[in-house]
Amino acid sequence: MGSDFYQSMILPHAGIIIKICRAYTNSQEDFEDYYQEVCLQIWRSNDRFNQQCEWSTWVYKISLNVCLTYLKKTCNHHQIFASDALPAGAQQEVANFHDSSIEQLYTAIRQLSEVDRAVILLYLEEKSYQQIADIIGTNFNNIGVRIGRIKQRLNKILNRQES
Amino acid sequence: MSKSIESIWKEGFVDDNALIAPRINQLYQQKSKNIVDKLIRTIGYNLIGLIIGAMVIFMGLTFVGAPILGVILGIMIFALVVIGKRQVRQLELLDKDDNSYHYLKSFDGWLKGFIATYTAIYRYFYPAVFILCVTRFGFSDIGRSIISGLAKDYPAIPQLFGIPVVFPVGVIIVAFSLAYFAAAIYRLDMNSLYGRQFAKLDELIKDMEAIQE
Repeated sequence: MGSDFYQSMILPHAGIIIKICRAYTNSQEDFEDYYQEVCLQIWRSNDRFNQQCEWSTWVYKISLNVCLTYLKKTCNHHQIFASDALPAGAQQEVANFHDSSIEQLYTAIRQLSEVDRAVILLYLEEKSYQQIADIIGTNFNNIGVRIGRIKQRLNKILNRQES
Repeated sequence: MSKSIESIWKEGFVDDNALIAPRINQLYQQKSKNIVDKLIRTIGYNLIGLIIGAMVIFMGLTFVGAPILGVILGIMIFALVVIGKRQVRQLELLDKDDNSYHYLKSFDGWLKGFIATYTAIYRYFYPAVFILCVTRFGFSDIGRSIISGLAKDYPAIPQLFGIPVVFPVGVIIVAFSLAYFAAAIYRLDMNSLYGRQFAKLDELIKDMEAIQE
């Protein structure tokens, strides 16, 4: 990958990639692997970008597709899926955000299913229901209901964390 | 909880540029580890394994005096490699920037097609290999002496061209069984290699379809 491409096409959107990768990883090492994989796939499929959507939307799509399909083998050869419970101590490892509230929110998001994570991340990034439906590839009608349920679940988890 | 999740998010990411991106080191050389690349890689290894297997079988059979059988089996295995290569090439056409559901569905479709193709092939491949090996064995010195010994010891068994009929009947039964169980054998083989990925893929697709209901 040329550094020009990284600087001009990926780095301005690194925030999106970081936010998504954080939601699908439980450790700094995994996070860096996911981040690199997303960047690699963005670069590889750059030729197919046909400008039918915004570049940022395209970055979202690739980031989510990579995170949804990425499998990481741990040292003991057990495969950890992003939907697995956060291992003890992992929170410390991924605590890269200065704000503790956002860290708590991430911990809660990681307890959702992989698809719910994608939906809520897009919602929090203020994507419209239509954009969320387009990126995920689902019906626009049910997105609102799904988001409502996810938010309820997140609030429950956050309340549990606080108490 | 005092703040809404929306405000936590907004306040947590006031400035996206403040987020620190990991350093990218030799990205192009990094191994791709996502499910698709991993599968392509595993299939690639399998194909290389088949080529090595074909060579070993050819050399082994030539060494024991059955070069023609070695050539035939080698060609058959090589045909499996060519078909596998073609299938993998199709996989590379998958559109990664498609929406998540379509992407996973098209990958799942490819996988099902791949399995169906090989299941159909193995339905003929397993019995063919078995029949070829048994036939060659029947024409070998040991095979001939076993068959003629049996024909002599059990004259009551009906014979076909001097061969006790239990032999061809047995071969036919085993060949049909192999054809019948080819799909199950292949499924077992695939599940042992890719079972976890298949389960994850199914789970994701079902979850996405649940949103649509």
